[in-house]
Amino acid sequence: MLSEKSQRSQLRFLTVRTLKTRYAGTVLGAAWAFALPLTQIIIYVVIFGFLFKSKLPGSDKSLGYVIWFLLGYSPWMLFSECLVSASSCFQANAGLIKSFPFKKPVIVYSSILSALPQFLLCLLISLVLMIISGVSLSISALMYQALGIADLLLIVVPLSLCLSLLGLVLRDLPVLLPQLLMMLLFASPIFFPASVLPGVMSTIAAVNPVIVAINLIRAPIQAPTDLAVVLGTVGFPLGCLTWQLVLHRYRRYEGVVASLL
Amino acid sequence: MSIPALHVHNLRFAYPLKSDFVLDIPEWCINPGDSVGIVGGNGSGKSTFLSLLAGVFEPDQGLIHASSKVTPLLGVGSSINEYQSGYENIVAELQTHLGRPPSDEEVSTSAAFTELSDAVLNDNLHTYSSGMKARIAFAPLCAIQPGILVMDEVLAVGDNKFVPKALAVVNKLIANGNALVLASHSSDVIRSNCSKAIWMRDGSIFSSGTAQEVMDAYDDWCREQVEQILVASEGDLQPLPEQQLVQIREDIYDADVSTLYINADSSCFSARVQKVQIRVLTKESYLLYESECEIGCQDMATFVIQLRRMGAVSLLVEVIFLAGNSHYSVLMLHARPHGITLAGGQPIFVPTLNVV
Repeated sequence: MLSEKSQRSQLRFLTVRTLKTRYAGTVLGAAWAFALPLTQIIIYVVIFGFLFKSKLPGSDKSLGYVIWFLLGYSPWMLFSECLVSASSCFQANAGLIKSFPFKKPVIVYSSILSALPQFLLCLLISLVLMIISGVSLSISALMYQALGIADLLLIVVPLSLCLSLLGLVLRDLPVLLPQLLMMLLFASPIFFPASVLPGVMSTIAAVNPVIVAINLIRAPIQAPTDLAVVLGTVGFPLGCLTWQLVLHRYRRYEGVVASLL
Repeated sequence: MSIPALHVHNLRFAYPLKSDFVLDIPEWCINPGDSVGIVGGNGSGKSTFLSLLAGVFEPDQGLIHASSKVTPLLGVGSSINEYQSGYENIVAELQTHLGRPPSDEEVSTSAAFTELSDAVLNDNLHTYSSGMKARIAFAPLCAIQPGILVMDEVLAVGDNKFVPKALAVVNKLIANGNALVLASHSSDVIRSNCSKAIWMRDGSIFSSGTAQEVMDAYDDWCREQVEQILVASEGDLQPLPEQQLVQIREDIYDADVSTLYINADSSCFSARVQKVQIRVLTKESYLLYESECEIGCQDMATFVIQLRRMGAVSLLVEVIFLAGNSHYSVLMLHARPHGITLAGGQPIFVPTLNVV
């Protein structure tokens, strides 16, 4: 049985290893971890912010839209990256799993942790842009933002745990998932406000936990709806409970992971 | 009465999607300082048993109780990262075994053991040969106390200089009270490094005792099996439909290891060849390799087989082409340290058959 200390050590080891080796052998190296999402963001900002001249309701500046977009797209990227990497994390670490006794959730958590630096960088950029554009950062907005990030992680973690096992038996999943997430991205109010969506989709978006979390993360630039605040507040303990329940069920199946690889 | 280093009780394990194999060990134990060799044919359960002992697999039923830390060394290259340098991999290997970042001294001791230069250790591992990777995988053993060392054929790709050195380290660890469980196909390695041995067949312990007793019985059994196969094969031997259907090239890139490339042109057969079975046998020892390769729809397919030579022992390579359910044709080759000949002694001489 692995102790808590050795599990923490394994988590640190795996996360650092993933970050170090993901872009090993490329000219830019680890810089790709930041260059890739930034490139994506710049492309979308140019298309939606400057070509389509999208603006936030009540604002005539494009910078407001850029910040709003950044605060919506970067959590989505985190969500998407975590789910995709979790769906194939056992296959990606097959050599290690078949050589050493690893606690399987540790491998899933390390795939989530290695996606966090990109998200944190995007948050930092949005913070700088908010300061430049003179957005006033209230304590309540920052608290909503923190709640939104916590909610998002509490959605990502149990979902990633489930997908890691599912991806092991359903090998098509890691291939299909990015396409599915791309479809969901364009059907979600990430590039455009929820008000643009047709009736039913707008209602679904209002109660979609990921969109609720994103709306809370966008709090410094757009005040969240009352519904989003209520759902986000209830979502936190619910997310903790779901995580523990999934983890409890997970222990029943994690023993077969190495033998399925 | 001493406490066993490792105690296995009522152990049962089956692969989730493989219903035909069950590992079943009712009772087994080893004491501190014991060195136990595990032998058995392919698919007998050696690696599965080691993975269970190492905690990599979880048993369906039963208990494995270890009185000290279990250190697994299961295969070369399974835990190392191709895109990190030799040094970084040594650090990673040490950290995995120790459960903490290693000290500079532990890293330098391990690096020195590999006998690889600084320049080589700074290169990424994808530039290394399999023997060099084995050195990296094995190096941490110089800096740790493994408790119970569980090894699976790690030394199979090491050269004649490295293997004795590595075995000396293992023997020193055993002398210091660590226990060893070693699976190997090499009769010599088990006879000279293990005090006890178990012979596994069909997921169970078929025989156990001193290494000498078990290996004598196992080698006798292997000889019988090989001779039975050879006698049976002689009856099945059919002429090749077209001599140019097979090309064979052999690359000897190491003193002990060579790679045999077999090109099969399935268009020469009236029915398309679906499979090629390659069996490597040696009369002096045991069945070394058995594999099936799918040809698919291509007319020409290349089958690559790595032969590990054991000194001057010659190997009998049996290449069986299968079409439908019937054995279509059999090609028997003798692979000796300096080339390949057809079984029976005559050298291979067909227009497109090329022996390098």
